[in-house]
Amino acid sequence: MRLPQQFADWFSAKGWKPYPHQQDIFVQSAAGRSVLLVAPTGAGKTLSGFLPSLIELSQNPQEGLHTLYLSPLKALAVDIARNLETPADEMGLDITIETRTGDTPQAKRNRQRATPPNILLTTPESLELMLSWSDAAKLFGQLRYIIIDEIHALVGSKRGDLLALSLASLRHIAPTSQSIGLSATIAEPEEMRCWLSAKIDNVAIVQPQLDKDIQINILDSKAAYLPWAGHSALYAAAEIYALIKEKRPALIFVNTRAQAEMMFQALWRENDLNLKIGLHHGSLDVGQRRRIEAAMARSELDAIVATSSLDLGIDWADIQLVIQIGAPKGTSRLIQRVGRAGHQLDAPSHAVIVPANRFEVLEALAARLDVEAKRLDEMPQHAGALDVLSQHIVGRAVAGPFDEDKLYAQIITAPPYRHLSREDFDKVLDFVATGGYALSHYTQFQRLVKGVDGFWRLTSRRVATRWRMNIGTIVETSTMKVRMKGGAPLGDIEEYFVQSLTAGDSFIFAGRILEFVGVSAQQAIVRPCTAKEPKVPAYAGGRLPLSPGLAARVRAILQDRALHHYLPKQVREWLHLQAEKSILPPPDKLLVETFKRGQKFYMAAYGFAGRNAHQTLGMLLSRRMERQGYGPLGFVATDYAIAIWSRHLVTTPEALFSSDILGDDLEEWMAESTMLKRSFWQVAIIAGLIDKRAPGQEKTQKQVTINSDLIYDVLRTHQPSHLLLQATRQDAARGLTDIHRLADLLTSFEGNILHKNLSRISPLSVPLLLEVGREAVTASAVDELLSDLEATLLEEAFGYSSEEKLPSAHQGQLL
Amino acid sequence: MKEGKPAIETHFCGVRVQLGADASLYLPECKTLLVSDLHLEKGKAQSKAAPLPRFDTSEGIAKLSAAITRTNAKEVIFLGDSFHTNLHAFQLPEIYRQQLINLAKDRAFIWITGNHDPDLPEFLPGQIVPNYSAAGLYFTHQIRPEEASISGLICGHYHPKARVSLQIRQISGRCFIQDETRMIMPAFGIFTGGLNILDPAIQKLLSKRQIAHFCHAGKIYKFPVDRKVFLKN
Repeated sequence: MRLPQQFADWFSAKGWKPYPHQQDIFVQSAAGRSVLLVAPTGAGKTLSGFLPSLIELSQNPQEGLHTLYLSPLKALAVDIARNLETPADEMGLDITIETRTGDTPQAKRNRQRATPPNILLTTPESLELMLSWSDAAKLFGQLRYIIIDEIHALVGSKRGDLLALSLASLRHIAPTSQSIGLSATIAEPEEMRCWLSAKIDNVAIVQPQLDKDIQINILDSKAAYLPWAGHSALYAAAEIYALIKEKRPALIFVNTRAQAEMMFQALWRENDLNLKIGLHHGSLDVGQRRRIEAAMARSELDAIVATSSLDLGIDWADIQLVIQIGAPKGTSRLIQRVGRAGHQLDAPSHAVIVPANRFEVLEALAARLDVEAKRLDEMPQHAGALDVLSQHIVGRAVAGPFDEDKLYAQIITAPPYRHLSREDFDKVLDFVATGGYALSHYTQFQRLVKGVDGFWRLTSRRVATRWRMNIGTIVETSTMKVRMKGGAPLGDIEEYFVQSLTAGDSFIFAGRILEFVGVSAQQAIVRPCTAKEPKVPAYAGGRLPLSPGLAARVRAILQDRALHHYLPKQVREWLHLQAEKSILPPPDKLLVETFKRGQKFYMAAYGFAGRNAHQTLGMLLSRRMERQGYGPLGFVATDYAIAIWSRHLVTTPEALFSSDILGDDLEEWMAESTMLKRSFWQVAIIAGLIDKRAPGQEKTQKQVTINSDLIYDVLRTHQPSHLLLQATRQDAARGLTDIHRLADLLTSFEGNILHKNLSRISPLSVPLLLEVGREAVTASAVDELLSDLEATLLEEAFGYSSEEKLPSAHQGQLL
Repeated sequence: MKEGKPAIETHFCGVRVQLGADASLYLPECKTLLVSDLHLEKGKAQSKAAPLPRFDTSEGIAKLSAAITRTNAKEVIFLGDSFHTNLHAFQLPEIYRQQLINLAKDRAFIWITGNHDPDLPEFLPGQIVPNYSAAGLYFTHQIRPEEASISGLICGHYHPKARVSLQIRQISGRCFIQDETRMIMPAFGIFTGGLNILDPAIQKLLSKRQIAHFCHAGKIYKFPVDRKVFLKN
């Protein structure tokens, strides 16, 4: 089968040749199959996805919706629409192409409902909304193609869950549609076929064997001193600048927004050639981000410092070099980022990893070896979230009355929910209908009712209105707009950080040093300044944990001395010293070191299970140690290890690291954890129990959080089995607390602990202890800090400490 | 190693007082327990406006019962806003009425009225009064103009709370705040928000020399207020 003449001509007029995989997609879809295209960035993926639609529409022009394109990013949908119009215009095709996102004006949306375009580009949230229309069946009835872009970015997330549910509904009303999924390189493409059709045998995988040459180097810093800790890599700013000078334009990826701001400042300090260096991260104003992207596309910039905000999206043709600052955290992500350089498939991709500290050197080497061996991270196994299911069930009732058996049958065709038991489904349905036992007295939680005909319908139209306003799975953290005094908005910043500022404080944001003037109309007003030591804003989340695959490689590198010659001298010496003073962590045992330093006793455990799992372990261990009288004072968790310090020496760590710690201790901790409460808040919003903050609503997010905290406590006390608590635990287990990974760690090392009691701090634990200051503290340490503060201040203010009794003559006067 | 205490004993206008981390105040000389702003039935009252669960009343009474057991008080003074609305006070379910009556068996209950509950139902055990005096101190819900000059006054109404910045994180908690002549008690209730002690509404009531007793995680701490300890938000 050949491309139609019109298309073949267009390709040759452009001086292009269709890639074989573009031809493949066309052939497979013409044969009635759904297709999964797995290819790295720069393989003309997006155009490939649209080829079957464009060809079909060019041969049989028609009215109505023919192709639906779904993208995880609003901006991507808009960009793709623009890019699609060019070939359509140039070939003179009579095809209507439109986008529909949350930003689309109401008038246009109404028009789209009445007269839909041939190709509609939209987001998962908008799709779910459109599916709730009473005329959805008419709108989507003739749909031929569903194109899902960047599908790997959606799988495993709540947005992916929502999308999977929407697709199940959509395929039900558009039975003749075929799907085309576009994905970056993934470890097991077969596993993803179920996203494209319920009949996986009818899904073809197109995976071009593109031997794109990737050259990854690790910066061999000439710096005399490789940092022990920290994540900013500022020590290497001059060397990074030298790399940009040599090869540009360059993309500089960092892991967090704070790092982006700091690296951007550092590079500008080095910038004696006045290179054009831009900044791009998710908190910056959208307009500003678009301007940077456009400038880069026009080749006007020499470098961009970016976070994962540039992981997805349009390619730029001429990136010469990708620099990854800090540990890559996962192989797949690194490959995705590196693929940005040398855009043309036949050009090699050059990348340099700049480790920010010594452990990161090991991780960088592990990632480099993995990329060379083409070992990709496995996709995490993921069971569909129950709060998302609640939202979807209400959405189904908004569309019209439904039969529960039929809905259940439909839902289990959505991949994340294929193992959903009927019992759990009934529980979700009950929650949606009544709010669950503990909340059943409130009419606003009663959203569905079963009619005498056996069909479930909404209790009132208000339920539909609320559902429409709260659709989606992205719950914004509370942020505040930052605005230049009398000027333009610069972006958003955590409300929490703004609260810590007083007028006159300076901080860096949007690549500038700003002075905080004050808060006005819920915006942080700032003006430019030239402070010496500006603060760096705190951002919620952002730091990804080390992937399990990469963690295993790091462990292997520690043992494999043959690989040590790849490491810089300082790191080699460090590991050598560790082997001498203690031992290098063995692959089959959990190394636990104990030592005394100052007045405190330290215990370090090298679990390599990622930051979140270690954080949870720290919480649980400190509870257990508190109970056993060790007097734990605080702990610090990194991706590689955890250190916990206490008033008394731990002599038998074996007794602490047993998997039963995940029982009662976990339950108790979850009851109090603010982290869990925050997760509950998000779950409660997604499930429709409480509303998102509506625009102009005066109530601050803080107050909303307090309300959800109360509900959380009450449910825990009165109905621990409540669906939303179940959903919160499910979330926590895979995200913030990473309990799955912790459980793996504890069970695989149970009774297999290598304990070294040392006379002094071990070399490997130095980086850990240098993280102190960023540590989590135990309840007794907060108490201690408060008590200290109390004593100091009372002493300063009144010349006595709270410990002493006041002289009685004094008492009456002094309060 | 210093540790906070569940209660702090101090003196207010020459009277010995014990401030509890549960936001209660106890006068050991006359065995009197003070609690303010319980806002019972708030969950029910607001069930239409803001979805709050309905167990707040039983939890509030349980908390009160614990404070009574701990102190073995002979007299309990409620500093007003004991109920979230008048209506819900009058419609208090039988089970809660009975619980309150049981608690009042061996002690006197004094209900001071507040702006949320200016009228209180007869079935409540004890007396209903607009204000009250004991041990040389004066108790009212909210300082009225005619009470402005009274020294040794303890009131509620404002639900004072504070945020404290430790090196490692910020924490917030309910707060007793006082100067030489007045003390404002924190809310005792389960579902009660709060007003920052640095808010002008509270600050205008007090002189410069203030002391705050800050409640956090079952412990209470004493801080002078004229320091950079407390955060505005």
